[in-house]
Amino acid sequence: MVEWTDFERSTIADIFSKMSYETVGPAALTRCLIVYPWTQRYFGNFGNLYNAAAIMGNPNVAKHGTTILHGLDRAVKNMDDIKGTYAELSVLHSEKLHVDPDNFKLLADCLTVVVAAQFGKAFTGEVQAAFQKFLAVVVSSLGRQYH
Amino acid sequence: MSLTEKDKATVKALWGKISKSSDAIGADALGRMLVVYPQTKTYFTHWSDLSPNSAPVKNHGKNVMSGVALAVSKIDDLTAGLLDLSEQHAFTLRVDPANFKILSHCILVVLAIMFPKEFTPEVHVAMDKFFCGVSLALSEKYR
Repeated sequence: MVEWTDFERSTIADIFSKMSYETVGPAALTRCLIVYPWTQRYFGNFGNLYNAAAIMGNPNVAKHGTTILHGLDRAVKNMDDIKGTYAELSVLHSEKLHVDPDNFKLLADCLTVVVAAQFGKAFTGEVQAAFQKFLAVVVSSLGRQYH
Repeated sequence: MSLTEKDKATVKALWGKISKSSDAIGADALGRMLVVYPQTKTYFTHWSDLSPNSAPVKNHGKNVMSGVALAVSKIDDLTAGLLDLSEQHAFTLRVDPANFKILSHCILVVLAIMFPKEFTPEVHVAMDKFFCGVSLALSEKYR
């Protein structure tokens, strides 16, 4: 059972309330596909991922980025049972999508960078710590059902 | 994952734009690291004050960034260029190399905060590769 301080709860709620899912989601996923190109292995049917410009202009990537962020929303709304909330998604990523769970951390790091850029100086060390703790719990929960 | 000519050009171009802020970058990255990854504080028990913007943190942030500046100037052969620093980290400081990744990540976050327009995905990948190269060069003399 993850213990959250009041600061952590309010920080996570605050970040997600101020976030535009349609901007941040696509930005995080495109950044991940560019910075860690081996992650493209999971998106063979997304069309042109040939270079950074193609990735940034790809509508399938944008749509999927938004989907991922809406998926994160479920954790924000269920911070006291993220493990339970993501049990099904974990099975999906393992059994159907066959995603190496190490990739979750790569996407989490890209999301941190995108959020940092949006928030600027407001993204203090304490805010970053809370955000990264939240993402670490998400990442761990998504990897939980792998066997 | 070695640096291509394009990567090196990208790193040098970004450094040209950000180097005058390097003290601030170093101080923020180091201060942030000590908060986000509290286990890193174990290397600084000799400091009176570990809070962000304290004198020891600011001073050390400056030191770290002068190492980064050196790395940029020696980007064509990081292993040779950073040999002395590697010996220092291996034999004197004995910092676990896992921490190089941690500090690199914090520097990248600070770049995103301070230079959101310049820190595009293409620049991000070049800088990530660069810091991987720097970390590898720093680990060279460990064993």
